[in-house]
Amino acid sequence: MRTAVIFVAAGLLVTAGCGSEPSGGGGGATGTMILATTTSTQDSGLLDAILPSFEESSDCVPKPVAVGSGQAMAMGESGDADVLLVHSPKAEEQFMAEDRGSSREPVMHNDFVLVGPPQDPANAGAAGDAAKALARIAQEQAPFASRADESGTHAKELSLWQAAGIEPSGSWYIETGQGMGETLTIAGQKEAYALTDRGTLLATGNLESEIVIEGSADLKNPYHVIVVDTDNTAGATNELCAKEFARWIRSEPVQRVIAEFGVDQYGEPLFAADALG
Amino acid sequence: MIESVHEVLTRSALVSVAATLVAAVIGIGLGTALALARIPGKQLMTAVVNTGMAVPTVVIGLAVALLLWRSGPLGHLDLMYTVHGMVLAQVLIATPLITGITLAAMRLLPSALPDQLRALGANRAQLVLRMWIEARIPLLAAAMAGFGKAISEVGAVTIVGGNIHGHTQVMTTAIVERVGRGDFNSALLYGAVLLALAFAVNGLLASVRHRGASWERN
Amino acid sequence: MGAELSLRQVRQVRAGREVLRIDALDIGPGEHMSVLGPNGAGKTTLLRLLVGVDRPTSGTVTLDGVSTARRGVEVRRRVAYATQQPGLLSTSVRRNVELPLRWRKVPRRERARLVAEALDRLRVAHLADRPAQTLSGGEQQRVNLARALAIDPEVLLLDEPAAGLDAQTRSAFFADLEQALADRATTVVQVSHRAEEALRFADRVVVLVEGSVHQVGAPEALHHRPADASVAALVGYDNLVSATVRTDGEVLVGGAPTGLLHRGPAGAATVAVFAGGVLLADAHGPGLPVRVARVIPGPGHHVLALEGAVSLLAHLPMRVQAPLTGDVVRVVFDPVLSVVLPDSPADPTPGVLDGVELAYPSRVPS
Repeated sequence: MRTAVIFVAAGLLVTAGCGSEPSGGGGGATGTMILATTTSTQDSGLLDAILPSFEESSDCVPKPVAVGSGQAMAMGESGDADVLLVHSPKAEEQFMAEDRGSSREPVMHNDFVLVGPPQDPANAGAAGDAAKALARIAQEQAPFASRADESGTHAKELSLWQAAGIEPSGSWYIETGQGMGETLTIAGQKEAYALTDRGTLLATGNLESEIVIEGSADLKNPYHVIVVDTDNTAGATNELCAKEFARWIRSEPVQRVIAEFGVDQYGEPLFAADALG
Repeated sequence: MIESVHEVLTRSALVSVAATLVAAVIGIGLGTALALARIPGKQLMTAVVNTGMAVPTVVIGLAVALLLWRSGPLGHLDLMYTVHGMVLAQVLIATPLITGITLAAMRLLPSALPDQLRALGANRAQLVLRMWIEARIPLLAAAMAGFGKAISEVGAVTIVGGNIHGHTQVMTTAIVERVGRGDFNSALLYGAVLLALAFAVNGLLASVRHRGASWERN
Repeated sequence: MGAELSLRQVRQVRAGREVLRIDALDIGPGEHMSVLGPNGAGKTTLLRLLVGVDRPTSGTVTLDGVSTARRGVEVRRRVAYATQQPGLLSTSVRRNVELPLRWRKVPRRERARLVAEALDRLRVAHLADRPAQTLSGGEQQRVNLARALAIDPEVLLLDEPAAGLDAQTRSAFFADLEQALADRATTVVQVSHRAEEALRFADRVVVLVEGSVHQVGAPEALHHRPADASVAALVGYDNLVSATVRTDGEVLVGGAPTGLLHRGPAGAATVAVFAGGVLLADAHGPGLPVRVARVIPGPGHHVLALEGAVSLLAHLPMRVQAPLTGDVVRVVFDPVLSVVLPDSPADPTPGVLDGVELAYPSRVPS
């Protein structure tokens, strides 16, 4: 909370220095704000649940664009996005190291789970953690469906393969190049294993797959909010609104909504809030 | 495991050419029957064909997926997420278009032509063959249009094919995927290749049309 | 070896309207039959029945005793039908002529010979390799005919073969057609709305008006004894005027004598007179008083438009001094160039019987 106030103040100073401060309430933050976020926040319905209250409480008009984490970063780099809500820790750290973002703060996390056919032909469920389970799958050459789309989930999957010491390839390794829901559908039809976030798994219907591994330490999926640093992009971004958004999404009322989201529909929350208290 | 453009292009072309060949056989046959034969329910069939031309391709993809689903009526054929399944979807997409253009092409021939051929002593097969030769340019255009629709389509091949790298990825699904990843450069490259292909097909059609007057089955 | 065509009790109904009605018509083997009638008389309808493209609503059409509608392609292949529109296919002239032969499974070598011969007969051999669409109207008609003749049909059906040709081309075309048919025994049915074409080389002529047969007869019979006014108009009588036949046989027009005597029944009648049969009479003698409305110089004669109780067209030989416009003259009708047609409904079509009697044996080679 304290840091957010500091950033807002810093933003005011920057824009005042440029002599082009837009008028309006909410500390002068106004106009259209592009929010580049991962497909999982959109597909799970979280954005639809929380964004209207941001529109009400500020003069900013958020335009959410749901893309893969890779494209979200690319949009931030080119100045096509003002603020990012992403879950690709390694890429995010790289992004920050290149001074592309002015702030990066935790928002929430959800669990990744490894799913597979109910019979679990590779006996991956007994492996204990995800990396060991993947090793068994590779050993058995059991089909595995990968998003292969440079999304946060894909990045997570690759880091797990790396941890297992395996470079997956061969006809058993199915690269869909599509979103999580489609990949889960393909995995279900092909009786393949797949790595997914719990939110999308719960939101995707007609699946025969079942959870094989869950809750292990190597399956955590943290989301961060990144304010794009306007000084290091090609086009001028709406940094004021971005900062307003970053402050807002980490505020207590929004965090409570996030923590409750999904309980009505699935009987359990889809995300765990990371900025409460 | 990113495939080379040339592999994806080859797969795209093979799938769409196969689908176009099957759709041309069905479409030209059906269009000719609707134009020439006195069959009951002709009007209804024509309406179905015209509707078929306007059905969004993703809806066709969805219908095919429901059939090929493992739990679906044709699930045992194991065609979901295979190139054969994609060919089937594209056949269903291209056939109404080819049928419709064939019907129009046959109606554009002189109305007296069938009687004229009959009076010259043609039997039914000879009559139909000669009608096709007379309408060869529009019929070729029909097949080309079917090919163009099949190869440029993205919704149905995504649903039925699954865009699986090395197996069912085609040009259009590759473009969508790369845009989704923010890899606009290779998306543009794929787009340019697809554009070049469309241009080549149209150029071929134009040159055939140009020489069409002297072309003849021998 | 021409074939014999027969129609019995044929009725053709289209869109609820009877477009053709022929109780009985026989066309003998090798006979040249012309069908004369105005546009819309049912001439093309008749040809389509003869070739078997259409089947009659009722009645039978037979070729050598075989129904044309029932046997389909076998019967059609004995018949050649040259339609009014040449309808050439979009390929070379040679191929157009060759195609019906190929359909009839004529061997390739034989085909080449027959095509060359047919093109030669119709004087279009030099066009053989041209795309058919690039030909002129007259050339297309000739190729159309060559295509029909190449198969050496038993029956040749010609639908207005010279339609769309100018007068000079038409004359040359018919000369070539006549020559092409001269040494063959083909049965020919030619349809035309022009008397000079229909009568030209026909053994017999059928006159069709509004779907029904008004007269069947030799060309001479049509000229000398047309069955009714419509036939008279078709064969070229320039004047058709209403008249009254007195009991003494004198024929009056508008109460004035015409110089004609008629031996038929008294009462209302129509007089048909060729323009050359309208003669100038003594101004004070008996005759039809008329006023000269116009005088136009024609080929070898004056053309006079005359107005009186009726309007008349007269041809006056050049050697006679023509009257002046506005003159009142008296005319009489030349009995040789006139015919009296009683309007009596009791005797509807005497010409038909007349024609049958006059029909002479056709040119069947024995």
